Amino acid sequence: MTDAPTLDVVRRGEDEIVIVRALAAPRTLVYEAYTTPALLERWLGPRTWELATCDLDVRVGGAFRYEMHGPDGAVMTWSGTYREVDPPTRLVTTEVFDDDWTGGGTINTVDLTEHVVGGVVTTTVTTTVRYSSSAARDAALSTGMSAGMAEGYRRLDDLLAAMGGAS
Amino acid sequence: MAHSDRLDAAFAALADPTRRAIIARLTLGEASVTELARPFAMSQPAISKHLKVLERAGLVSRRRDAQRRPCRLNAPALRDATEWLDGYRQFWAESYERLDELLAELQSPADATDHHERGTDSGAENRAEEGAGS
Repeated sequence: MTDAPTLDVVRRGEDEIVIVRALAAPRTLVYEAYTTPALLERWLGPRTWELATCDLDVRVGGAFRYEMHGPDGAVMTWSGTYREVDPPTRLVTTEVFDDDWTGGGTINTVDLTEHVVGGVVTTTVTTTVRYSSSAARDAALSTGMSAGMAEGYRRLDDLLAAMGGAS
Repeated sequence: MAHSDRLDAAFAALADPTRRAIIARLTLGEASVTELARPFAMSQPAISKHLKVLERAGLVSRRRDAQRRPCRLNAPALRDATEWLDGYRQFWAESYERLDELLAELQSPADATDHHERGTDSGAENRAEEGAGS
């Protein structure tokens, strides 16, 4: 096995964050993984979180709602509407978290680009999250979405993990 | 201090290798400045300076009453930093790792029959062929 592909998280413009990740699969399959609750349950969120609710009405104007349950009774709920549904290349949604930690709703665009290199099919997922303001975007970044910071702090992961038992 | 400011201070403090080593040492238990300085080729005043940064960031506290003023970790502040690292970026990093596994499984030839059982779409047959051809 090779290492997991790089996850890029970058700012763009005034109010956007762009998340880019390559996946070793054709985009029809990736699109399916993004739009099928039975599949989303198996991948969306950290391993310690359970996707308890995943109601998707995948059509333009259709609503969706996600509820995740994490450790220590943590609950994260968000919902929204599909604005564009263009299988297998593009999904655009508006969404907002119930506790509104993003400071207003966001517009999320998922673009799937397929590449064939040496007979191997890969799909690049580019997620663009547009926040309601520059301040809201920067607040989201300060919660850990800054690639540069995360890169710099990567070494800390191990250290802090080793400290997990310290209390 | 606001939560994000506290995290900024914590991570700025932890950006230095000496300070990380001090934190690592303190996970083993309380220590005086003398004890902390021992493994480093540094003077006690230099170590004290690092400790002040860690204290200001809320990561380390020092008992005022005891004469040797031992330093100890402020576990809640460290936990905050850990939770931050487990936060938003980690959410996507881990989700995509899980998606890697799921996609690999969905594309394995042995799994082809499951696609028919799920009966999602005609793409299942295409994928089975792709799998067989690769």
